[in-house]
Amino acid sequence: MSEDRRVVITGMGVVSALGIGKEALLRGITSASSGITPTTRRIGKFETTVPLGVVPDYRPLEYFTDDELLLRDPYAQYAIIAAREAMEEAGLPDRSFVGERTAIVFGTGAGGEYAREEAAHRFLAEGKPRCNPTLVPRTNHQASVGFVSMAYGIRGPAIIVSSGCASSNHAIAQAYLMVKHGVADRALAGGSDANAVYTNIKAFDALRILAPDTCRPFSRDRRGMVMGEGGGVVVLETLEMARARGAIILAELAGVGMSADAGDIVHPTATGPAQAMRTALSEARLNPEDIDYINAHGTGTDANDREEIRAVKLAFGAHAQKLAISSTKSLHGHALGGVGGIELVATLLAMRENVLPPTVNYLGPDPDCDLDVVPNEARPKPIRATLSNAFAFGGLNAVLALRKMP
Amino acid sequence: MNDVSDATAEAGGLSAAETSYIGGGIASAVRKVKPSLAATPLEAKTRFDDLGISSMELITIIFEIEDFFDIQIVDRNLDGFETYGESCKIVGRLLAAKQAATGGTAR
Repeated sequence: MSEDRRVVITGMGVVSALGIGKEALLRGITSASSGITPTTRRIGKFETTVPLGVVPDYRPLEYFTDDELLLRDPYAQYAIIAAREAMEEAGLPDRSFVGERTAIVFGTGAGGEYAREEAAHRFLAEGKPRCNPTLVPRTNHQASVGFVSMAYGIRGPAIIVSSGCASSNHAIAQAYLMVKHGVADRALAGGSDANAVYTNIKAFDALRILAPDTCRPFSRDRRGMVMGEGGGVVVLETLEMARARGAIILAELAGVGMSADAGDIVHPTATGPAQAMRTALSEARLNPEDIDYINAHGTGTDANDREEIRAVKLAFGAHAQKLAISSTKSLHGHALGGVGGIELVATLLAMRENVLPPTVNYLGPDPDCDLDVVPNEARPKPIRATLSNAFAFGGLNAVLALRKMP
Repeated sequence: MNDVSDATAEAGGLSAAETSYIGGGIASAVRKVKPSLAATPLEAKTRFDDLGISSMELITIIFEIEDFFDIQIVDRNLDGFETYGESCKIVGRLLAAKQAATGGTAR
């Protein structure tokens, strides 16, 4: 527990509104084409059509057998698919793989919401008295972790983290701490969500935060967030272990910063996120001037974007005017508890390709968001170090700091 | 299917059509829960565990059977769900009991 080791990322996988896999996400980033589209969700006689960022042309039978789908709700499917891609890129399991020394920490905000909604409809709309026994294992938040542990024989610490929109970042932070301090040598970390179902769309709509048009973070005339689905997973391991087996290192996960606003249950503040960013920098032994890019939480709501820009100014001082900050939610929507995983992969791709991901759907500057938000077009730029932000209702904040390895 | 029909008929005064209906309903439930068994023949002595049906899948099959036939499978009847033939008998008995209670047909 007293060890203090450097933690690197050697594999990444992602499922998002831009498609399955990191190359689909990269194509969306570089071509600045959003996966957000008007989408209809229905249950029984109820339906709604809103802009959503859902996985396009997703055919589960390409990834799972019929039998496997019985217990895997879409959120778990996305985590498993992303984990497979990450493990494959990392070249794992290999001879160095020890199940007992490997951890899994995933995040989800809602777990198996499709099963939950179907069961509720069956009980309350159809008046059926019996419950499908698969409801409990499908809706369990930890199902994604269980299935991935079984797939690879991962027998170390295995937990799920649920902190709303910060779930993935909090999960990655816990995995980082485990590897850094010797609880595990390696970890699969990330998260997923698939809860753009009828009832949940109605719930978010009731908060008056869903955009009727699209997601345009930091832009003038932005009108709110767009719900999405998907997830992202990375492989973390010690620098020493990665070097010993000749793994390709995507970046160092150099530090994490977590904080709580202790303010309001839904309204964000600037001070909590600023504290999380400062902590991540300090933990990573990075100076503000080292950061070239921030993947923002950037939901597209008036309040989030304004407060996040204030937070960046508080944390970075004069350097805030020099760094780039964009929200890839404009490309893939807000996949809630899974979005931190997607955005970590987007950030790693930005570092790999030396390209700043754009904030698309941008109509023009908002005086409250007067930083370089990389409007509408990806931009080549050497990237040395980055932050990826996630902030949740309840005022819970988690920030990841990444450094490119020489 | 003949031995299943015989076994089900033994369960209590059901017609041939009704026994076929029971066997078909149970087979549909099995294949709905585990689609990989779509082409696997089900015989009276076929054990569910020999088909690779897990405990979770079995209780889901029983749920589907309850739903389809509108019956409740509990206690000793639940324990008997080990083979296809025994399951047909149990459902046959429960449907016959339901028929007797309501004075209608099993269907």
